[in-house]
Amino acid sequence: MNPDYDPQRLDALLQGLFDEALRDAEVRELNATLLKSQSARSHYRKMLRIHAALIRQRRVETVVATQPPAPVRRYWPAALGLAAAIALLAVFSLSKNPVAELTGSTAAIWSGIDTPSSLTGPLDLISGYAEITYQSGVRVILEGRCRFEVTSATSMQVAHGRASVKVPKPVNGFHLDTPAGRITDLGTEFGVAVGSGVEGPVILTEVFDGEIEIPAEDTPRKRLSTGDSLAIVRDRGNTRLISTLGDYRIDLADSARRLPPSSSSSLEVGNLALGKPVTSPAFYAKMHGNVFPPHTLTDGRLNDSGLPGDWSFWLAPNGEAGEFTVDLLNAETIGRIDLQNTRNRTYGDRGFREIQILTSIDGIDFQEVMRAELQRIPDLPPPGVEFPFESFTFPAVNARYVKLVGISYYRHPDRLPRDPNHGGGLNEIRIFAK
Amino acid sequence: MFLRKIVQVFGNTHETMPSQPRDPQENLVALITRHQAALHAYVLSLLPNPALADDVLQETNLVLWRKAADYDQSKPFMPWACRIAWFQVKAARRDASRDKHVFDSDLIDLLASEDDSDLEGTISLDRALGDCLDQLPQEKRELILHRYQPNSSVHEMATTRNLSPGALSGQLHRIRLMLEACVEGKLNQSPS
Repeated sequence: MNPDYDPQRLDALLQGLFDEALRDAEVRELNATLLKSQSARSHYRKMLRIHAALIRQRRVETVVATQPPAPVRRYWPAALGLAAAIALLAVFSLSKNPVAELTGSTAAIWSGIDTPSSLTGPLDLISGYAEITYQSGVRVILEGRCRFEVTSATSMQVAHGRASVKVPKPVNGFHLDTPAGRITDLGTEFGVAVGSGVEGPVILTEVFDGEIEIPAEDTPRKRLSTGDSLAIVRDRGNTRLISTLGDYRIDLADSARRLPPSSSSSLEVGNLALGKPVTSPAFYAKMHGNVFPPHTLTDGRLNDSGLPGDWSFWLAPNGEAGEFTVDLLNAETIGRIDLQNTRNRTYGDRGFREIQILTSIDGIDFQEVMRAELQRIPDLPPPGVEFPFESFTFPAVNARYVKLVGISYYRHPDRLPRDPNHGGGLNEIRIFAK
Repeated sequence: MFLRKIVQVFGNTHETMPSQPRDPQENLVALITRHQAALHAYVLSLLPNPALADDVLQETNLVLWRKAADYDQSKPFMPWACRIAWFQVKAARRDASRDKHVFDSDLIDLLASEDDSDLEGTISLDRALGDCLDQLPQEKRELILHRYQPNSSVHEMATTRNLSPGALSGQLHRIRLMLEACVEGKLNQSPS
């Protein structure tokens, strides 16, 4: 083939183009060459696609160039061998010298045991907080409900639940394994919430300080740095990253980065509503586990906590104050209702204001027992500190069904009127005889 | 920045209940996601300024998403998306200062008018490039990866290596040519 352009000269011009060093005359020459020759344009396209692919690759490769690789990559075989050796060493030394220890807990309830004596095998933290410290100095705060396992001296698996990880500076390459893939620490402090959507796991992750590497969609890995937050969504075998859930930017601002001080939980003895079924005509439900069904109103979990697919509070659909009905399963004497409002986590744009409380024996005829106004929850308290409960008392009635009808609700004070993200909502309802 | 921008664009798209059939917008989001690399390559080929191309890609994603209802699902996605991207390139050229223009408008029109069927294989190309980078001698691989790190400059790289910028740029381009040949070989081997 006899090209109608000078291949060497074109490559010199493309070199200048890609390395941003073209002079004006060379720009004109490049334009003229490409305009004139179809085969020159074809060579340009071939080289451009490599240049473009290198631009797309750079974030992945930057990580690989400075860190030991994740096992799926084939770079740096020597380092990989070293990593494998360290992992093996960890397994051998597990029995004699634990690689990690339980170094503290707050209000922790464990499944099947009082306190785990060693951190071998999967463990279930039903509620409360636990602090795990690795020999390397890596510290993980887990928040119940959480299922996790210390898998090596440099890794932990979290199957469900919230964890925040702090890796001291000299330590490199701590891994948190989740159902949507491996999160690799690059000297940092970060949080995750491992939950699920309808089609698969949804992992919220936020970097508090430093950098981490997470599974990504069109590149093998993606790097996140301080302040970044994304959800890793795995459905139909594909990994996708999204920066908002429903209408909201991902934010883990209420996750416990330190073991919270023990605080006495507000009294719940005699709560007739705990664990009882709740129905509502509608609730806020969007993709990726951003669902807020009514059973969360009586589940005993407080403070807008939870995970994708498993949040602790109920939200009405956009623009509606909403309503729900608790079925106490038997007729009971009731004279007091305690309500814990919601603020929709960090977003502060939802929650009941005025409400009407009605009761019924048969679930058909309802009588109003009172109207009330709830307080807005202005700020998110630190982890471990409860949102306030407000008590409403009324002359005792006999009832099986308790219905709350929202009359008005709190919107975000600074958002424009046309913003659709507002509505009623509540975290928890407790019902007492008096 | 590139990936982050994409997800920012897609962040607002999760409106539909999963149990409902996929609406055109949801289908389109999947198509836009799958063709990000191809659209990036297309935009960069018309607007060879990486930062500007990133901005145009972001704008293009938004427009594609807004125009979901206009997309005829029986037709291939890329020609439709490229036409929208092309308008965004033109708009960006109007807004950007002249000195950011490398190509004249008649060359851009010509490039855009020619069918670039290779774009469809951009995902395979990215994979092949990963393999080809693996095969490079370590020194060359580090050099080319360093060049594509954010904020890296040829000038600074040359200074630390005691080379002239031109000589270093020449080395980089020879690596690009090696990668191009390697990628071409791999793509011809396994047309996936």
